[in-house]
Amino acid sequence: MKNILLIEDDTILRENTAELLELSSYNVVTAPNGKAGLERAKAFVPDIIICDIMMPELDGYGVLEGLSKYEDTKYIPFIFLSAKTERKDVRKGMDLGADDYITKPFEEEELISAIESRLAKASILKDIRVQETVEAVNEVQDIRNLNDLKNFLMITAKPINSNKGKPYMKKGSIPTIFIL
Amino acid sequence: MFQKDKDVFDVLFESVSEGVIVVNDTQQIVAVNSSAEYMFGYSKNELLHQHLDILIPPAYHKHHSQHVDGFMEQKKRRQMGRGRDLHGAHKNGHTFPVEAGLNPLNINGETYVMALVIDITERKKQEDALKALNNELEKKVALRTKELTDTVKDLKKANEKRDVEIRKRIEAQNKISNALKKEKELNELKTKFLSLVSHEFKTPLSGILTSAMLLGKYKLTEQQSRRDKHLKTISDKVHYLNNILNDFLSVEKLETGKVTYKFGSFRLTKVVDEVIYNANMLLKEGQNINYPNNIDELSLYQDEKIVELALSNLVHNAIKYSPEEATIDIDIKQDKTYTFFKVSDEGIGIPVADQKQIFNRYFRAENALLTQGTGIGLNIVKSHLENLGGIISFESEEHKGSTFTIQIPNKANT
Repeated sequence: MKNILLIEDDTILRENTAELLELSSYNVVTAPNGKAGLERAKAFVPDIIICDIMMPELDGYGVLEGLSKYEDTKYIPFIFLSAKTERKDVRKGMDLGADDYITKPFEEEELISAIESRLAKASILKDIRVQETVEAVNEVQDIRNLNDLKNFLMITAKPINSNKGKPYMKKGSIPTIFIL
Repeated sequence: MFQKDKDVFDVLFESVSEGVIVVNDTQQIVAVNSSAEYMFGYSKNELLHQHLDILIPPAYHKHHSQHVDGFMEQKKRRQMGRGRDLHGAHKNGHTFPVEAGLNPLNINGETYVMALVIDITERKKQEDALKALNNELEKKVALRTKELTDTVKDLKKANEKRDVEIRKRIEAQNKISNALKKEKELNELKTKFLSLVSHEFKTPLSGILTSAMLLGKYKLTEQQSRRDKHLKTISDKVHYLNNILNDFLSVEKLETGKVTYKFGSFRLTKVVDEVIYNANMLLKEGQNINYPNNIDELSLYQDEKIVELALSNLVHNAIKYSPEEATIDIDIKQDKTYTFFKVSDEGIGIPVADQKQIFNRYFRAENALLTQGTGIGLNIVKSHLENLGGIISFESEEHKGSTFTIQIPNKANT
């Protein structure tokens, strides 16, 4: 079950929207203003956030900006749900990095479909990020291996250097180099 | 030489271009020269032994005699006729202007006066012509001066007129620019207001729509309580929207003076209970309203709806702008003339810079812009109270809270 954080200051709309989402089998956490919303996002790290814009304490734009500062929250899909319906408002929201913008009053299908598509996309992006992380970790591991080798070489090279000018070299003193 | 040769003297006497006339003390002419003969048209013989009056126009005889007597007494050489015009009388009867110098002489104990006479007809003519010319010139100058003065006056008038015109134009320009500024402000206000209204309507509409969606999902009998909840939500939100619409209509009515009040007696508790009941539904988590219990006996003769509107406005604002867990205090007092409602909160308060404008229509304080509202509630309340002889005032500190006080007459002045 996916977790949704719903940030909305209007009590009725918050309760109703949460109820609708729960009936669609989502687990919903709510917050009555931007400040509380940001705290809950950091504490619960939901799968997706639905957020109003005009709210006391901290507005929706502030929430989005706040989320982008934390590694845990900056990749969470973010949907604005706002009564600000002018083109410039939508533009601003999207420019700030929101994944979608739904205007009030909204239809249930519109909201659910936006959530599902954002979750699906987020899942792909997450896979990519995981893959990238695995690759990055492997790369780091390779570098570590290479460093180990380098260190080994430095150690094994020492006796060679220190034996410089000496007529004999003990048998078996540099076997690893040959193995490599 | 002159004494020796009388002929030489005679030649000199005759050669003088001025007329020379010598009279004795009885004004008898005793000698004249040719110039005098020519000047007066007489021959020497016609003049000798004649009274001097023969050469003076009759009109001047009397005055002349007086002057001669005076001159004889003083016996000083002088210019004759100083300050007045002298005239000679020609034999042919015409008179002509002269200039004369008088020289008293004493010969062998006898007194004589020698007059040197110059015919100044030509000079006089020239003088007169000059005078006439001067007069003409002066007249012309006067005329031109008058014309110039008139022109200056006209110019002055025109200038004044122009100044008035310029002033009028500047005023008109200022009026236009003010009107334009006002228009711009109104336009900005309208845009801001429309955006606010849009928000104010769309959020409750969303509430209604989501409740309607949910109603459709609860089809089982045991889900009646869910259905009831959403039906109530729809009903509440419709009332809420209706109230906002009424507020807008009140603004229009208040502006055009079309408000009519319905006065009547009512108990204060009735209004307060109604306001508290409605307010309780809006309370945030942990918010609490303290209200007075000692008002059972108080009543008002006023427009009940307006009193309710005013009080509920203040209480709703207190709820809206206060955080969770905050307390709102309602205090009501009544004296002989007025009833006082005091609503205090622990909310965000009004920034000092915004306090002056808080009753202005559509105005929202800077720290309230993120909270729902249209900026007309307090404006309507103030207008109604003023119409009813009441007053609204407040004290507020940002981040601490606000206290609004309403004062309204116990008995409406109908």
